[in-house]
Amino acid sequence: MHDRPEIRFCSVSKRFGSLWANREISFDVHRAEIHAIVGENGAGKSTLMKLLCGHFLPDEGFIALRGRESRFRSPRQAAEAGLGLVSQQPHTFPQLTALENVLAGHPPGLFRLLRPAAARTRVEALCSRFGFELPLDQRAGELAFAHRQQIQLLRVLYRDASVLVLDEPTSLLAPPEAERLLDLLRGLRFKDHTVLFVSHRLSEVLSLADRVSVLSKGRCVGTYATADVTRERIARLIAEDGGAVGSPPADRAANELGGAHAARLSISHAPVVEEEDRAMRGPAPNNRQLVSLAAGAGTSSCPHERSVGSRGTRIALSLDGVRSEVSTDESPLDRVSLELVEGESFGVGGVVGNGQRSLARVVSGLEAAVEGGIHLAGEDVTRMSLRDRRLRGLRWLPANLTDEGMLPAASLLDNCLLGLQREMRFQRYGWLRSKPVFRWASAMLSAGDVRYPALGYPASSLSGGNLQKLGLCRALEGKPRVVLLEQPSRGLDLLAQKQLRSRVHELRAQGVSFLVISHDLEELFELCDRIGVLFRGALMGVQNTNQARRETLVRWMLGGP
Amino acid sequence: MTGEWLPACIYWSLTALARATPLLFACLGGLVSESSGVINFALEGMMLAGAFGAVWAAHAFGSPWWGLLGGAMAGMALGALHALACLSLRANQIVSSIALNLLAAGATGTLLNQVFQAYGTSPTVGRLPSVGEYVRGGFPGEAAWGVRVLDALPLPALLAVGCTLVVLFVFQKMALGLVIRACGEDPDGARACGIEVARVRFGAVLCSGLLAGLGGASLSIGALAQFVERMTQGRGYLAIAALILARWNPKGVLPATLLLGGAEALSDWLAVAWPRLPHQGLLAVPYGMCLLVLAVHVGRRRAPSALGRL
Amino acid sequence: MSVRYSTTSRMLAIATGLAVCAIIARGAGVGPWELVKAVIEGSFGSPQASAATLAKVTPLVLNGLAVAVAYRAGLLNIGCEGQMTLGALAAASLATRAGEWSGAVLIPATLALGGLIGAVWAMPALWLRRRKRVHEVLTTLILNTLALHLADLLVVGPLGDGTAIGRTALVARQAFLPSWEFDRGAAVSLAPLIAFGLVVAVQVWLERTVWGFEVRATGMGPLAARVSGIEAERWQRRVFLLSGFIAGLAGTLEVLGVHHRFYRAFSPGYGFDGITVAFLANGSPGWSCVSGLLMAMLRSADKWLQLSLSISPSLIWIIQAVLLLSVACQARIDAVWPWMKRVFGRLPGGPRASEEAQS
Repeated sequence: MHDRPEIRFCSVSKRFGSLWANREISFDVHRAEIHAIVGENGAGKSTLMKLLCGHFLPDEGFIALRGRESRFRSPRQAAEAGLGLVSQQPHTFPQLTALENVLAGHPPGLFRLLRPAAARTRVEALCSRFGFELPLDQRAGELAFAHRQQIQLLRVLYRDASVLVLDEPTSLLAPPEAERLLDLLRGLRFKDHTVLFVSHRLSEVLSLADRVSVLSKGRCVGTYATADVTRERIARLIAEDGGAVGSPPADRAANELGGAHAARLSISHAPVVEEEDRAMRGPAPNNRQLVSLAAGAGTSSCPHERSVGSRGTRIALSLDGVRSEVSTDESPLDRVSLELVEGESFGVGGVVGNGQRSLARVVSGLEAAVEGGIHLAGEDVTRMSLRDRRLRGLRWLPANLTDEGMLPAASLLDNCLLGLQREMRFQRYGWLRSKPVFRWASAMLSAGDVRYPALGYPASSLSGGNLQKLGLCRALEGKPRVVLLEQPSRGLDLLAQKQLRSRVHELRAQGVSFLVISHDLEELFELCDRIGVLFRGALMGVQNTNQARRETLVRWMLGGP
Repeated sequence: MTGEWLPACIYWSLTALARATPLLFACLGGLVSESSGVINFALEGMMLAGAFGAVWAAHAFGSPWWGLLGGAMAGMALGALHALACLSLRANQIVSSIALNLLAAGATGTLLNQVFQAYGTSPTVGRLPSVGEYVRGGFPGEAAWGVRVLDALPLPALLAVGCTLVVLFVFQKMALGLVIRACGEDPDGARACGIEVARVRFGAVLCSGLLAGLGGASLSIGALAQFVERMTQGRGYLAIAALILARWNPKGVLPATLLLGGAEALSDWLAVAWPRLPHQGLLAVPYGMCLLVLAVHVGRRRAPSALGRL
Repeated sequence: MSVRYSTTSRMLAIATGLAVCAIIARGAGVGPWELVKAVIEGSFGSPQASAATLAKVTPLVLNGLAVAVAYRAGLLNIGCEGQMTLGALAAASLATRAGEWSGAVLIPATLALGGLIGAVWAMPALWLRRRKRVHEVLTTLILNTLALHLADLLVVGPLGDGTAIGRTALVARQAFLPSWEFDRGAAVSLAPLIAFGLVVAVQVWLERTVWGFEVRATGMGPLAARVSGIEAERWQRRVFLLSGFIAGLAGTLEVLGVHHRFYRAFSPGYGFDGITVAFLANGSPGWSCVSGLLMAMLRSADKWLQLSLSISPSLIWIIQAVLLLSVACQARIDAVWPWMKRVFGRLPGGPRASEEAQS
């Protein structure tokens, strides 16, 4: 094929603290190919891309670009060498216009003049070539998510990067937008660009990429031509080592060693198994589930949880023509009406930025509804503060848990208590009773399988997954009536996801209703009885999960009928 | 009657500009620093340092022109400290600012003692000429009316307006302005775009110190001809208020500072027109005015998105 | 959002700052030990000096407490200087005019009025923060200047004693706080005790009660607190007013306990020193007693420094600034902590946040 690879990773290793994010990764990327990198969350994909683009240097090994070892000390040097990174979270400058945003991605040297007219012509040409409809004079903070993603792409295209590195570019895009992006990448390959992209959507990998490298636990398991492998085989490769998921006792043991290090080790399933060992081992018990997840199958693996036997008839939560304040980051709610029966679980999906966050804020009471009414168990709570709604049994697990649900600098004990401090069992005449709090918090955390060093440690010492577990425990604590879950399985491993499902199921049997908001359709299928879709703040339609068709939901997500 | 109105008006606006000069410099400094995302409440200290540095340099080299340079250098030194603390040592930017204000007050007092063996005020040094004097140059005698009016305008005022134009140009026409604003909007994003955020911010804070230092110099060797302990009297804070009024927009800086400078000119004028008025009340006019304007100031503010975030 | 650090690491930062101060002192031609000796002699060298130092402890500790308590709720109150000045003026005006009241009524009434005026002077900052989102640091700074001018105006005019000096008359005899004269010309009033009592009360309130918990949560993460059903903004308002109240109280105690009248340029910068006190104490009311004492020693030694070492009293400002800078740079000092720990062996309670590295 090609005599010289465009990029060569040569036993690249990178360590964070005691955790190897990348371990001896070696593979080649050819010129003008689309090369996919797949792997589970935490397999080290993003780290590898950041190493390539000069965000940090590898601890061992090297990366060669066009035959020469590249040691980029900053993203700038990488950019000058023709690498362009499109990250998963679009980095835009909210108060600069779209055009300025594109230009800022490629400053022509600090003391040059900007030539706005010339730049505009060029950006417009790029836009029309790739079919972007980007309002160039609008501030980026007011743009939709997909537009911000386009800004990132335009930055890279504007400076004519020869190697495009995309980190999960489609994960936050709606299917048709994603499809268009993939077309664009195909087009770029024919123009002699090299594309390296990270994804966990296997279907898209197989349809787009020429070759695929599989990462698992920081190691590269192998590189395959997509023509030669099946989806199942890749899924199995990804999932290998998944056996560690089902072995909490080992993690407990690690936990008992004490200290944040041990806790983090156990979370990442760090014991890295040698290659031969892995090859000899049979498929782990969880593999089937993983395959179905990774392959994007729409069916639930646990059909019994779909049963809705305990579903009552009393309405727990109802929204009636609710509209919300216009916000900068997403569409406001547009006359949303829905009803939640006791014990029911209702899912709300949609492309990011279509009003899910507004819905959560309005239902929780953080933001007031401009119009319409909200009733909680028959009581009008439209004008009530978040606190009063909380007292009436509404709980909320927010999406950005570290900002909205946790006090990173405060102790775990304080974090457990946050929001529950006024409950009578924890106070007496306004004085906190430290002993009952302590006992209760330890019990709650161990029941929720949260791995923590000690209750006095700050919450920032927990990993994302454990923090999420803490948040879940806390949200389900006490006697909730309606629980509002945003992206509940973010950061959770498979075992924890399963525990979450059974816990939700258990509570629903007791009559607790759930409103689940997520942009991940699988998550909604797993957790909900009915699924509704938000588009530009309006509820497009609702389907029962057992009759739901993905195609319909996806069409709704795009504003189709 | 009408013949006297026009000169009065011109005289009045020139006085306002003269009073606004230190504020204008400091406000520009604040703009540069805060656009790059670094909170700078240390403008007060930088001005004070600049005021002292100017007098010191003017004393040492015997010329107020050197004083201007000295003031800029002194302000920049404090800017360097602020940048070091906030960017390299990751200090809380507000606390660092407060500390630097204290440092400037202490250091100028101590140095005043060490250099001039004086407490409270320094000996007088050469003053920068006013624009009128400068234009007349070596031609003494009766000058035209227009030139005499310019006597009311100290030279730094012209320099300040020039700096405003330069800053405006940088922010509107140059890549540098875009880069600075990008750093203030989203430092991580800027880093990912290949902008060296730390350097840009360091430069911005240094530049901010330089400008504020010039502001201090225009106070000590432009308006007076000596250094008085704590002579800035909270003008650094007024400059930040002006920045808020200007909504961090380079175009708004001049009007906002003129407004506050006009208030100072007003209190001067009142003191002359009504000598019976208590002067403490008059001294408070700009501050009261500032608070009032902040209170009635309508519209959304547009602070840089990542102000104060590393 | 206010971040707090463990006591040990804060000590480390202060030690670093003191080391830098020693270097600066060396630069000014004074050996560090000479300086320390002069500070101790100047502050506790004689009964009179001790009395002066103890008199300074009250306003410093209270202003430190005022800044600290606001900081714990996530706000910075830099306006203590103005709040204290106006509080003192109001207190002095009341206490000079209410000659026929008995002490048991007059003293509490004066304290309440002084505190109240302090709180009132904090209000515009709150209003502007809430309505116009103007940072409270800026508004309180402007309010300081306004307060000083206003107090000048009033004390020369309607509230003064008629002389041109700019002071009020002496307050009524029964409004003097009881004091204990332990040497000739060296007396200490009840004021420090009241201050310490207040500190203890606030500390217990913050750490042990549900309300205190809510305040702390608000300070550590206002959004998270709101999401958890805590009325964060209301707590911030209340605590900011409390902060102003405490600052006003500092002024009042200064009038009732020390000067027995109000005069122009009443506060030699106690309000600003309060910031240093609070930050050295890491925002903890309890520790602000210690840092308040330290600041009081520095302040009362400044004349002595001039006499014995012939250096400018302004050096104290520099020391204060360096200490403040060093605690502001805590995060970086913490980052070298693991290294220090390896060198000096294990010490309890070190920071852990620096080890965060997640891909």
